Amino acid sequence: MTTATIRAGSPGRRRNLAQYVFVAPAVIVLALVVAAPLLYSIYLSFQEYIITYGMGDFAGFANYLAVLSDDFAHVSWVTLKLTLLCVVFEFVIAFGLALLLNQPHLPGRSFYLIVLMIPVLMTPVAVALMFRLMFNPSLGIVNWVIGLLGIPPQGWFGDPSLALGTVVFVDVWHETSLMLLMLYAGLKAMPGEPVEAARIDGASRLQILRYVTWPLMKPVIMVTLMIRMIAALKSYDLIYMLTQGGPGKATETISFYAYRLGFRFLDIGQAAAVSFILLIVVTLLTLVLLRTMREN
Amino acid sequence: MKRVKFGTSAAVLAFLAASPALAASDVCKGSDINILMETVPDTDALQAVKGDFEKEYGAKVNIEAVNYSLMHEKLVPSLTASTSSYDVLIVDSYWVGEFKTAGWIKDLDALIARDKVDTSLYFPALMALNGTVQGKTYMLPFWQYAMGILYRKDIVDDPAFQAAYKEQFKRDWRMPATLEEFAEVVKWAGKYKDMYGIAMAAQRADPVVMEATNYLFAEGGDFYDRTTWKPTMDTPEAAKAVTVYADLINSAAQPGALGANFDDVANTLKQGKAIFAISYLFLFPTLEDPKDSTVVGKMGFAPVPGKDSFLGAWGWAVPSNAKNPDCSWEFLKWVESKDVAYKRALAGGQPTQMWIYNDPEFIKKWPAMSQVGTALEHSKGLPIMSRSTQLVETFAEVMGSVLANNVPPATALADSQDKFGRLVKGDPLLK
Repeated sequence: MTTATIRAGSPGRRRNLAQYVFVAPAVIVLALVVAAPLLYSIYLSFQEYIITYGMGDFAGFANYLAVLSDDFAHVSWVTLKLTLLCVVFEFVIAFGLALLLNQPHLPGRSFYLIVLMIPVLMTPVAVALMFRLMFNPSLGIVNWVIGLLGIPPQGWFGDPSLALGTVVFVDVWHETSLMLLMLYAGLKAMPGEPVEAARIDGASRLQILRYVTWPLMKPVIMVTLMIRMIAALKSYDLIYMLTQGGPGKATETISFYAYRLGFRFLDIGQAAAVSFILLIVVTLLTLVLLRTMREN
Repeated sequence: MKRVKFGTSAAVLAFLAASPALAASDVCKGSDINILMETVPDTDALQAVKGDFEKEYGAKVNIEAVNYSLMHEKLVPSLTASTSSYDVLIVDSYWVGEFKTAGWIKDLDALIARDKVDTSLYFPALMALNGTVQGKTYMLPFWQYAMGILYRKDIVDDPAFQAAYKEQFKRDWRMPATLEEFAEVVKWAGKYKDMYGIAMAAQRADPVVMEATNYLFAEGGDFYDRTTWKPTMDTPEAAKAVTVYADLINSAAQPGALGANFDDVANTLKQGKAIFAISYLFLFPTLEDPKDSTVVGKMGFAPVPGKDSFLGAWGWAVPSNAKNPDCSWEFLKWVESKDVAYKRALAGGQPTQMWIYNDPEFIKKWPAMSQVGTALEHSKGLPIMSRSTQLVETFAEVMGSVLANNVPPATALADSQDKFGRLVKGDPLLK
């Protein structure tokens, strides 16, 4: 009894208790706004729940089986294509620009940086509206310009063979800045001595890039690619604003599919099932990201 | 809980009826009336007159005008909440079944009887579509979106055009009587005038469905046999309709029609780039606006050729979870009063009350409106069923696979039978 009282009242114990008390509000808020909705959506994914009819019976894996047998393979393929194309183009452009901006004695560096940051400061909705107008088949400047070159007008978002490419173009315009920012920060944080030493040893610019910059930047590149890839896998806003997943289902991503099931078909059970599958994929990628970060 | 709410509303109504001191206009004093609306001329027409209500009733009317595609997803969370963010609803004709089954809109019969609101003023077709469900009145029709052929009158009335037509088709000029004839004329006229034969809106989901449903109904097809509720998408009529639609998209429509909505159709027409469109009559005010149209006074309207055309409409309703249902009802009565309905019509709205179409001043201002009666006689809406919003999505999927993936129409339609069947399974409205 005496020992226990002493332990409970000891300074170390009080400090420990205080830590829990200070952290508790954050944990409670997170539990309410993240964990509880997440658990509820997992529960919903096993229920037959169409909003119009109200909550139905326990559905087991029926929702999962229904979505997997319907359009899931197609929307996964579209999501994968979109993700790979966006990430590859954005990385190549962003890394190239970051290297250029990192050149010593570059005049007007701050100006270029500010200009290049403008796209990422814009909301996706504003970007989509802007490009929808520019790519409008009859009013848009893009068709007017290609018309000057003798090329007939194109239905950029209405042609199944062009729509995904046009969405990728808009995404690249919008998201490259973010990648550029991360890669440029990585280059800035890189120690200067190895590059200097290589230069003194007579290495060419390409050799410095290949054997010095690239290996030193690898952790930053990995993290950048992962962050962007996870965001691209969840692509929804641009798709919603630009194409609504069309023409046909040419640009329908997993997130848009979940939205359509939930908000158009009002089938909350199936929408929750799709969202949960996407969550698993994104969580796995996040684990890879965390592991990569830890290793480096 | 619903019983308690109903009991409270009934008590309030009884009190209001019994109390001479509290005038009807007082129930709105100091209230905000929030309405979610579509960015269409009818919303502009309401904006123009809402000040009268604010003055008379001491309330503030806040209109949130958004693109159509945003409306349903903004309304549903509000209607499933304990109290709606919107005090008055406008309900699209194909949300009617869903809203009724989910219990999101109030039965207005008692209020209509109490206040002697005359629903016989409305076109019966519109009351059936956006007024009553299973014999009870849930809405007052707000505006109709009758569809038909919008065409360049100046071009088709030109003697040179008509002579060329006669040479081509070996008959005098006439507005096409069948869908097949319409397609032939559209394709030929586009080539003859070096313009787009037709402006089309095949964007997923609502635009393509609204447009293609005209083709389906024109051929005598339908989504279901409306007595047995068996899907009828595998019929030759449906296949022919979708085939004609796809043919026109590929051979006579403006580029990018697969990503176009009705705004794009209006823009194509306003720029004088297309001769025909099967679209909404409500586009006329914008086509006739000299500020941004090159075809002022050049457009005509004719009914869709063939059997029937598609009819859509919107109705005013009071949400079941409205903050102040009595005030919502006062607003409905005011907005559909003869005087206000007429003012809205003159401002470019699409009236639903029959008498307005006989008004010489109205017809003089909007001559194309004289065709509405004929258009309504040969038109029908989507079936009133609990999942008609999902019917639209499902038909859009069919059209998408035909138009974007080149699946043969008959195959795509036959494959969709099962999905259409699932939509009506267990529907309490179809029993």
